[in-house]
Amino acid sequence: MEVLNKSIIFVGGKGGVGKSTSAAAIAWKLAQQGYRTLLVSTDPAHNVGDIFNQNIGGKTVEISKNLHALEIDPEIETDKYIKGVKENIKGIVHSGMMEEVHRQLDTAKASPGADEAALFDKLISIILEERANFDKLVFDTAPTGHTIRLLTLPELMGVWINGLLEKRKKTNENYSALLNDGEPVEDPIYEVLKTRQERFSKARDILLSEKETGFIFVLNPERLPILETQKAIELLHKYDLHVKTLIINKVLPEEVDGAFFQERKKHERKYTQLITDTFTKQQLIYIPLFSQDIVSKNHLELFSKYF
Amino acid sequence: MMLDKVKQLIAFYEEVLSMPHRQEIARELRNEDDLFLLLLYSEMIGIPNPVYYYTLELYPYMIEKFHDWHLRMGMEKSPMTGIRCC
Repeated sequence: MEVLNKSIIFVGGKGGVGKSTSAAAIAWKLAQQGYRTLLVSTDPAHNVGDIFNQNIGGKTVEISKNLHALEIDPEIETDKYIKGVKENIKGIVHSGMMEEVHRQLDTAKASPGADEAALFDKLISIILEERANFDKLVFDTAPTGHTIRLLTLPELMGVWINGLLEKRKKTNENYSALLNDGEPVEDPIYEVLKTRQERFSKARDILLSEKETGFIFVLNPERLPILETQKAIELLHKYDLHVKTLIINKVLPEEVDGAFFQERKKHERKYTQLITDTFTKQQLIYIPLFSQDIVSKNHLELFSKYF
Repeated sequence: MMLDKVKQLIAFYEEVLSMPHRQEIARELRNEDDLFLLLLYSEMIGIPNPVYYYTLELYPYMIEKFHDWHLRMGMEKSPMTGIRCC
């Protein structure tokens, strides 16, 4: 798979098609090849730990030689963030108001979008800071919709923050010209916003860089996953994110026994044909349906031979 | 000597003239600031803001202004569920 040359790999797809297994197998293979690899799950229904049969949670843990894993926990991330804000408030607010301010911040933690924002924030931190410690980052993402939203956030957030910055800048310029004898004003608000904006735009550059980042979608040879994958590819394409690799998972073997499976295989051929006709621009990787679940490192080894 | 006096007088006169202007400018700028706060904390009056979460980190630098702001916005009590700063 050509995509294995990228330093950041996102694995997406419909629920249940084998995203986590594929992501784990990719990470496993890269680690075996000697790359320091971090496997990150952004799916709230974390499966990575189940595949490797160990608790992972919100901290990076070592799974085997060269392979680390992390399951992002929005709650831990939000807590950390709010704690930081509270730290900053110390010494600014007089103690009588402190309790109220804290309560206010804690309600914000539960506001809609807080989880998503926290997850996104962590994703950006990993992309910007963990690249120094790892050769490869493999992201196991949530079902399609969430992933698309996550990947398009830099754009949306960027527009907003830029708007706020522009506005702030204008006010500051006016202030310094009109009331401050042309002396520039110190504005911590502007500085904080600026830092934010720079992080977003750096992360966006990396996501959009075809040299560094690759996107893989996993699907099964069935009608719904094919349609969903097609829509997802089109949508991401609009944001300049190009999916160039598809993993077609759970393909029935050529020699199937019994009338039932032969019938099933006949239908499947229609779908594999549809896949070849639909996805002409993508590299297609076929992985057979195994007789048992992928639950051990040996299984992953077997699975990853097809990449 | 006399010239200095005249200069002083002129300076004083200019100062007096610009006073109302300065006030007006300050008010204009405050209005701009108010709008900025509204953009940040629109979520509190039910206008969604996708970056609300990230505005929390600006909060420490806002707190001072916040109280005056919501009074000017015609909100008797703070729109924040938590803050009872009045």
